[in-house]
Amino acid sequence: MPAEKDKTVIVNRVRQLLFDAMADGVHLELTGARFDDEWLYLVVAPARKDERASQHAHLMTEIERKLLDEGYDQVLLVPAVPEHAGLIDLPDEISPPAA
Amino acid sequence: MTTWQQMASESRKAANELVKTRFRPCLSRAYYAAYSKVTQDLIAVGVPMPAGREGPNHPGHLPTGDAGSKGIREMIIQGLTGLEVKKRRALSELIGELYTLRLYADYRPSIEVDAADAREAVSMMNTVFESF
Repeated sequence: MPAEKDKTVIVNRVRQLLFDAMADGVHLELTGARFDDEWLYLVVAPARKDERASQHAHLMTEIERKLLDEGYDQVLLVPAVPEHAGLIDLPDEISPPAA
Repeated sequence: MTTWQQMASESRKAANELVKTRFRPCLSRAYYAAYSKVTQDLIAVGVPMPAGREGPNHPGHLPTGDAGSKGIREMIIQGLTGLEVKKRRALSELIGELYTLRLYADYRPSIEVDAADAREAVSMMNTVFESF
């Protein structure tokens, strides 16, 4: 399970994985994060129109599995809903995703 | 009184009826069928529901810091201990994917929802009913 101190590392890893997925034509962006009781919630939203719903759903699961393989087993990617508006609890990027 | 099991069954039938004709409503029914089925399972093993609710919070709900404010995915992982960990994770993933599909179907007209999405949602829903 992640500790709060891991949040920045995980957020940057997810940013990288989302960046990598753009090459496959799937565009999601990280819009918020919340750490609560040893669970890390990462809110994502579509960054482009006209992509397929199931592509986004699959990518979110794929990222959760990669994080699990890397030792972070209580991280959930959460699709953005209107109630999340204003949620900006995101650490600054340490380094931009590699081009 | 209607039970979660009955609600699950009704939503499952509706999803199956809609799969070839009404893709967005099909996705919504498929999620609620799976949500109701899992809720029935959680209640059956004594997992407490959040205060003031008859069922778990949806995956889009972010916890508020209260002990009982976790969502259905965390409840699956931590509460369905009769299933091995791998199966709990798989069930949690299915609920997460179905929820994303449902959310997009109902709130994001700019995102494409087609026949393949509907078939996939029904397939995931059936897995929830038949494999856990």
